[in-house]
This record gives sequence, C-alpha cells and structure tokens, in this order.
Amino acid sequence: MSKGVQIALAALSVFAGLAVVLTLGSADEGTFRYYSDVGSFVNAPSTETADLAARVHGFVVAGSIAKDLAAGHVDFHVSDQADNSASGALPVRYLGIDVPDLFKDGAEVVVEGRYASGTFLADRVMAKCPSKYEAKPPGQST
Amino acid sequence: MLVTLLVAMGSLALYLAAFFAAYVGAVAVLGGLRRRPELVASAERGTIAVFALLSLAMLGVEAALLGDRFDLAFVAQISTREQPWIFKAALWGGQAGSLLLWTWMLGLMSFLVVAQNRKRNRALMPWVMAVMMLNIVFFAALVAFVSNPFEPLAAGQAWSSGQGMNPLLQHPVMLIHPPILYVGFIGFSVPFAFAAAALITGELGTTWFETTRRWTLTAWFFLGIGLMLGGRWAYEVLGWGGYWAWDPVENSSLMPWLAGTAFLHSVMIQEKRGMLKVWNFALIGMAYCLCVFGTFLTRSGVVQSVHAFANAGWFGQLFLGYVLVLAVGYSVLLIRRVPELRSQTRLDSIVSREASFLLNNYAFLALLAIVFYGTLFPVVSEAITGVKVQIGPPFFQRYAGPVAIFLLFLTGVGPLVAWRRATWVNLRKSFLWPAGAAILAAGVLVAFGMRRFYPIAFLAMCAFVAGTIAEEYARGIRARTKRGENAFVAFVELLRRNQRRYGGYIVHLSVILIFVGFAGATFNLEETKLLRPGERWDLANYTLEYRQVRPTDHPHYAGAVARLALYEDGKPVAMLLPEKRMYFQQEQPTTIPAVASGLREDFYVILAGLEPDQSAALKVYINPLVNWIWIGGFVFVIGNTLLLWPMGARGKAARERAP
Repeated sequence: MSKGVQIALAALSVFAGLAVVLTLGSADEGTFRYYSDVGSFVNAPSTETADLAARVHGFVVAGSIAKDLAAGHVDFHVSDQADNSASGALPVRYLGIDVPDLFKDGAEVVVEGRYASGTFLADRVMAKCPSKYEAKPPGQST
Repeated sequence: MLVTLLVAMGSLALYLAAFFAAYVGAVAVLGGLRRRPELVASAERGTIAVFALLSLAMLGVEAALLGDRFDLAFVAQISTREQPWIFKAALWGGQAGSLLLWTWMLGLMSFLVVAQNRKRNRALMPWVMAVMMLNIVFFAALVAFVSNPFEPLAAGQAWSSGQGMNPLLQHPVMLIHPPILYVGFIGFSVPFAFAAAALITGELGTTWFETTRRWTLTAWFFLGIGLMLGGRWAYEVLGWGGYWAWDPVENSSLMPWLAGTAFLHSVMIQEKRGMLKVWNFALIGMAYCLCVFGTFLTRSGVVQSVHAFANAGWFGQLFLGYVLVLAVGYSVLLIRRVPELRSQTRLDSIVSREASFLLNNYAFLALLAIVFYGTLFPVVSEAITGVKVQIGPPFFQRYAGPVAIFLLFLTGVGPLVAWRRATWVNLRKSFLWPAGAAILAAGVLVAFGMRRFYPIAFLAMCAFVAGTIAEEYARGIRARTKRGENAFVAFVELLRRNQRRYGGYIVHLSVILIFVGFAGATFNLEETKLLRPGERWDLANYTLEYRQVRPTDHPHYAGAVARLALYEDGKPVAMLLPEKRMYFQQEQPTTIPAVASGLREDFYVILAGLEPDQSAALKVYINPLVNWIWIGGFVFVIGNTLLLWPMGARGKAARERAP
C-alpha cells in the first residue's frame, strides 16, 4: 500500500469518525427545531418539544407586551396572525431586557428556548431582521 | 435629457449583451472545434463588445440612480432624493443592481483575460471565452428578463422620492464590502474557465494554473478582505457584540474561500512534484461552484438567514439549475481525463512536505464539509423528518475548533519540513525553537491561571507558527548579512528574491494574529443591567457611570444618545455614547454601539432600551483580544500585496532560479 493511500485512508477514517460524532452530537446545545408557525409548535407531541430547544416563528400579539425591567424579564404572547385573530397564542417569557429594535406589537419574531409548564421560556428573541436588503416600497401594504 | 438617453441606451444594451454573449460563446466554441484562428479572433473582439455593452448598461443604471429616476422600480426601492450621491451610486443595495454589477464584473474580467492572452495560450483561449460567456449569458439573461433594474414602476404609481437604502447599510464599510466580495467570487471564474479549457483541450500541464496564478490569488485575497469587512461591519453596526454568527450568508462566502485556500496550497505540490493533479482540478471547480452556490443560497430563501435577499420562488430554482449545470458539466470533463492525470511521482514518506500539504488539504476540506453540513442541515432535516432543525454557532465551534488547531499546526510544519522524506536532523533543526516557543506560551498561560483547553491550544499553536516564521526570516536575513548587507536591506531582498515564500509567511502571520483574536472570544463577557441616570455599575475591573440621556435631532431620524463615563480601575478611560435611532423613511430603528477599544480588550456597550423615566437598559460586552483580528486583517492585506506586487525582472529571474 502506498503512502498516499495510507494517508487517504487515515484521513478518511478521521472524517468517518467526525461524521459519526456529527450525527450523534447534532441534538444538543446550539441546535433547534424550527417551527414556522405557533400552531404546529403547540400541537407538536410533547416528546418532540422536550428533548430539543425550539425556535418558534410568530407574531407578537398586540397589547400583550409586559416589560418588567426591574425583575429582568419581558412577557408577551405570540400567535400566527399579526392582527390577533388567530386562536391559541403562546405565552412567552423572555429572560432578559434587551429586546431587539424591531420588537413591538404585531412584530414578526422568532423566539428561541424551551417550553416549561405552560410558558415558553425564551433565551433569545429575534425580530425579523431589518437588513433584508430589499424593503417594500412605501405605500404598498403587506 | 442626458439621463433619459443614458437610461434608454443602458436598457437596450443589457438585452443586446445577453444575446451577443451567447453569439460570442458559440463563435468561440466553433473556433475551438474547427481550429480556425479567425473565428477565435472574432470571438475576442466580440468579448470586448460584450464588455462595452455591459458597461453601457451599468452607465444607464448609474445615470438613473444619480439622476433620481424614481419612476423606475429599482431606483425607487434603493435610493432617495436626499441620500448622499455616493450611497445613491451604490447599486448593489438591491437585487437587480447587484446582479448587474456581478454581470459587468464578469464582462470586465473576460475583457482583461482576452487582453492578457492575445499572444498566449492560443489553444485554451476559445474555450476560456466560451466558459466566461456561458457565465455572462446566464447572469445577463437573469438581469434582463427576471430582475431588470430598468423596469418601470407599476402603472399609476409615481413617487417624488424613493424608499432609500437600508440605514444599516449606509456605512462606509458597506460601500466597499459588496464590490470587494464580488471581485472575490467572480475572480474565481477565470481560473475555473482555464481549468475547464484545459480539460476540454487536453492541455493538462501546469499552464492552466500558472497563467492564472495572479487571478486566483487576487480573487482569494479579495474574498478574504470581504470576509473581514463583513465581520467588521457586523461588529460596528449590528450591535450584538460579535463579528461572525455562522449565518448561512457568512458561511456561503467562507466556503469558496476555504476551497480556494486548499487550492492555492496544493498547486504548489503539482508545480514541484507533479502530484495532486486531479485534486487541483477538483478544488478549483469546487471553489467556483461554491461561489455561485453561495449566491444561490443568499438569494433563493432556501436557508433562513438574518440578512438574506428577498426570495422569489423560481428565481432560486434557476440559480440551482445553473449551479448543477456547472458542477455536473465540469465533473464530467474531469472524470474523462482522470486516466491522463496520474501522478508521475509517489509519496515517499508521511513526514514530508508533500504529506503535510496533503493533510492541509484534507483539513481544509473537513472544515468546508463542517460548514456545508451545518449550513444545509435545516434543508436536509426538513426533507427527511419534516421538521426544520437549525444548527447554531456551538455546533460549528465544536467541530471546526479541533480542525483549526490541526491546520495551525500544519501552517507551522508545512513550509519547513523537508521534501520527500524528512530526517530527524531536519526536524530537530527546524522545529526545536518553535516547539520551545509553543511550550513556553502554554506554560506562561497556565502559570497565569488559564485552565481552558481551547485558548491554551490555540495560543500555543500561534506561538509555534510565529516561531517558525521568525526562524525562517532570521535564517534568511543572517545568510545575507554575512555577505555584508545590513539587516533591513537583507529583509527587503529576501522578499524580492523569493516573493512567494516570504510573502506567504506574512500571510501566515496574519492568520496567527486573527486566531489570537478568535482565542480571545472564549473569554467574552456579556452583561445586561437597567440603570437610572447617575447610577454606577461595576463590571470586572470597570465602572460604568450613566450620566444622562439626550434626544437627537436629525432630518432623517430621531433618537437618543446616552452619555456613559467609563472608568478602568478607578481611572477615567472614555466617554461612551451609545445611540438608538429611528429612521422615519424606512420606519426602522437601529442601535449604534459605543466601543472603548484596546489591544487587550474591547468594552462594547449598546443602549438596548430606554424607559419613560430615563432609565436605560444597557448591554455590555467585554471582548478580549478582538482587535487582533482587525490587525491581522491589515497584515493579511500587506502580505497579499507583497505576494502580488510585480517585482520586476530581477525578481522574476531569481524566482526561476529558485528550487
């Protein structure tokens, strides 16, 4: 066996090992199930939502924001419709006070965290990023 | 009047360019197949014409932007009457304009390639032009028929001014970041075209990469600067205290850079030892396909990203189709030639320069695989399980970290270990001091109480590589000073005589500095607190005093600036003024961080929120060593400039004599 083949085999086994680790290790810290709407998260089987942190996409229910800066958290609800017409809003508690610039009533957000006893405990709140290069022209409604 | 004329001409020129490029490509193919020099010459003139047409189209768009033609949808979208002209002219703020810039750059590079090769590479040139034209046809057709910057607004709409560029992008770095990144992406099309031409014609020697070495290096250099500037912009503007988030858009420019880095290293082995030929063809194909694939990722909405372009369904499919055509077509060409590309020499030993370069290639590809896997995982997982699983930064850090340490190790070993088979004497002579430096660095860090594996490993490896570079320079300079030159002259001569070797070391030095900055990130500190005016906040060895908040008054935005006095160990260091703005036109709030920056660490603060009673929610990041990343960026520029600088006849003669 030539040296080239030996090296290739060695590298291949390292990669294979890495691949195995990648597959096994993909379900921990820093990995999230992504739910594109609140409904599918609320209706997901509890086994699915228990093992892995989630990112849930939705809209901030108008009038639901309650900031308690002294206690260091912000409470609000997210639902599937910006106009508050959808049923089944998800109560969220964000464990921080530094909400993003675009966070307001009706804002499109992604919350990141875990579901615990009726409330979604969010470590992070991301508002739909404004740096989408192309904004909608003024006067056009969504 | 002039504007109207230029816009009309530009619009027409765009369509003509798309059709004409197809014609030129066909003529070039015919010239190549039938070996008819007059057809090749005709294609060369046609290439110049395509470039001229694309330039007219660019001129038309610029005229529309600078002439405030808000009746055009594209202009209305990215410009306003009040915007400074330099931001008005930044046509890459919107999709149509950025694609046109891309196409124009392809045209410019095709033109330069034709100009450089009037008397050279005659057999390759028809195919080089054919590949370049294939690219231009795709992009020009995309701009002309799908995303046309000259398209008027829908009937019945008329605006006196436009939407304006996103305020987040109105930053000096953003004026140069996109074009620089594009030079990088598109620059890879030239070596790619030569590689494809070599595979088609069977001229499989070293010509295809030697003739495009400067192109490849330039593209790689610009892509590198683009990555750095993107990080710098994120750090200064986005206000989350970091510079790299492993976001799909960032990853999509990192991936071709990794493939390109592997390529630049492995061609050296083919030059010196005639090995890795298939590998080199594969790497350059991969690099260019990843450039186009990255553009597809950012513009198709396939992966969710914080800063993706707006998505349009079949637009993405077109792009994906194009990437597949490039990748499959190139692979077929390459596979057909594999039997002719066997190495003349074999690897003699695992402890040799060839082997270390080979390992370096594997490591770069492993990094590439990790980034690729992490970026596309959401798509794959959704296809298989129906649920999108997203992968965050910890994944990338966990797996890329060890590979990066190994790569740093090879950065030190590669240039010094002997060709063919290293002897124990060679190893001891080359690595005694660097290994000592690494052990010393690790020892000092541990003695100062550092107990974490990653920073110790990274910094020790950095010391090791720095040791090898210092040793190489010292050795070279000593050899020259013995002949009576003074040390500085010797240093300059060293660079002149062996530009690639000693310029390369400076690029390696820049990588070490950047990694020192990365290592610092393991000690990042992040704290949030609500402060009332007059209140103080003690953090590490800093004290932050919140003096007051003032409203800002500006024609385009309203906002507030907090005045914060920063003390370090009780001594005043800086007055920090983080700001929050609300842009009227775009209804967009932005947060502008304030940074007290030093070589040891940055104190970075943002005004996260403001209450009616004027209490401010402040978020502080303490980022050790982060400045070394930007310093490394400067050294990267210096190193690459030295590599690309034309050294003149003496340098060239010396290069040819060099082993």
